[in-house]
Amino acid sequence: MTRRLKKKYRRFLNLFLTAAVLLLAGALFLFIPKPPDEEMERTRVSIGEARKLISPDFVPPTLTEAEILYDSAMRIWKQENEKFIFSRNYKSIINLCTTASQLAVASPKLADQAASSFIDILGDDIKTLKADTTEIGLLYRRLPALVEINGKYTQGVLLLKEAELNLEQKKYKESRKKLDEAKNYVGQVTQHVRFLLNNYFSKVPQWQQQASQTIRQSSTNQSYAIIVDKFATECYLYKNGRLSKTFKAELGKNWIGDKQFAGDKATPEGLYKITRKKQGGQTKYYKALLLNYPNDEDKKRFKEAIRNQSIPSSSQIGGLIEIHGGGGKGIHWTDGCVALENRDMDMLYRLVPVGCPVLIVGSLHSLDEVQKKARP
Amino acid sequence: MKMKLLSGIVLMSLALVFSSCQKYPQAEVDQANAAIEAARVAEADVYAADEFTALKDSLAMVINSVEKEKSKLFSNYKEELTKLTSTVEMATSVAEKAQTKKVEMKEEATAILTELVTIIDQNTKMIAKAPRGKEGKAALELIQNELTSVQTGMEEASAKLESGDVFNGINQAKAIKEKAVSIHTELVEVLTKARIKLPF
Repeated sequence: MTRRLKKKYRRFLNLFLTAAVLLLAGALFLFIPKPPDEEMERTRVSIGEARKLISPDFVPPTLTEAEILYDSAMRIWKQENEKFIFSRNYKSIINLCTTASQLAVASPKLADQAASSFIDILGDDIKTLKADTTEIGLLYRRLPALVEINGKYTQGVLLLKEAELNLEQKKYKESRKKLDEAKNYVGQVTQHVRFLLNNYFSKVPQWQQQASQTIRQSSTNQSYAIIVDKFATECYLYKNGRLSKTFKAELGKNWIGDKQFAGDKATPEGLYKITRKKQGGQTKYYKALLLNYPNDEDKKRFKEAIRNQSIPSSSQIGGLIEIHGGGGKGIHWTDGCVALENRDMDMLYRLVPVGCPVLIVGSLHSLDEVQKKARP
Repeated sequence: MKMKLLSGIVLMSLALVFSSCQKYPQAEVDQANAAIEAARVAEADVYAADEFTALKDSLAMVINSVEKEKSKLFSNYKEELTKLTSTVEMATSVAEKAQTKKVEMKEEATAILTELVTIIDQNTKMIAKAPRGKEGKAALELIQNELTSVQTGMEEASAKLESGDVFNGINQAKAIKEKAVSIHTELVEVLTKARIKLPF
């Protein structure tokens, strides 16, 4: 009986111990810390989504920070996984993931704000520089050949095109870089051209006054008068104070500014008179109307320039300034004369007498008016 | 006797369970990382940027999965090993795609530059034929000046292509071509107006 009881007791004990071991093993599973895989995955997805939405040019510091936090979390997770299974602690990883996720989720909006204002400004700047380049190009191409600034203008145009291409390819930072370089080149050209034109156009009120006076005299004397607008490259014929004809005119190749001395290829500015009418073998330019250049004012200015040493002391004042034929070449090419197309010259030659006043001015219109007219 | 047998079974089962824990796939992870680095070296981040981002994200997902397995009492990396192999294959494919794209872009740029050589050559010939009178000299000087800028730009674009900066090289070549074509048009106009036969 005692032996049977002992055996029963031993069996019960064994069963109990086995059950206890299994229960303990089961209980131990419950104590294994839960790995932070869900948090890590959520963070990875958030960062991945943000990366997809954000242009590499506008990655905000928040996304960079989120990525750093994610990497730290991963490093800690690896470290913790090296420890004994029950002593692992994933709490800090979860905290890092929470912060990283929040930062990643907030990033696209921040990037969007920065990007949209950057892209808007970039687009506007490209449009503005394009318009400026076209405008300055139109003005600058009308000026005498400025070889020294031509290279800069070309460089500016090329860089502007590159900036446009970069914008199309969504390479915003590169586009901005090219645009700034283009701006620099075009800016130098603009500065140069503006300086030249502002100086040139500063005399417009005086020229307008001279033109009014000439037209008035034509009206009073019931006679012809010629006015040449150098910037407009036009020659106007007035009869009895009224505009009768307009001809296209070509000038000296350094036409901008007043004539200083012989050989400077500039067309003089001032009030002159026709002193002689030439045709046939008297001129090589079809027909010509010789002007009384230099007049008294030209002589006075020339002497002053020699005295001021603004021109070489060996300079001559020059002469033989005419309105002649042979024009229609589409460029300024004379040595300082005004060239008209032969058929226009025929008409002018026939109508105007010796003694007819000829006013040559830089422009009859202000720079603003000229620019507005030039805009496409 | 029965108890000894039972204990033996439990111990053997435990041994079997523990022995089923796989080794961390460090070599495969390293291989995947190396493949991604190789893709980066192949400029996948420039010429296949979207695919490269997806590739990096894909590896991050697999690493997550690997660590998740490692966190378990009984790790099994079978699925992760397959994914790591796929990542390596994907990296190789992305690197190839980037290289193909780069080669295509370089070919396009080279074609533009070749075309430019012809245009510049024609421009030079036309300048030589253009009217040399006093009326044309200044205008030709300007055009020649622009042509010099175009030639300098072409050399720069060519150097960029040679150094591997295909993105900037192709853009510069495109910009230069536009300018060279406009000079060409201008010169054709000048020669036609002057009734001079085009020298090409």
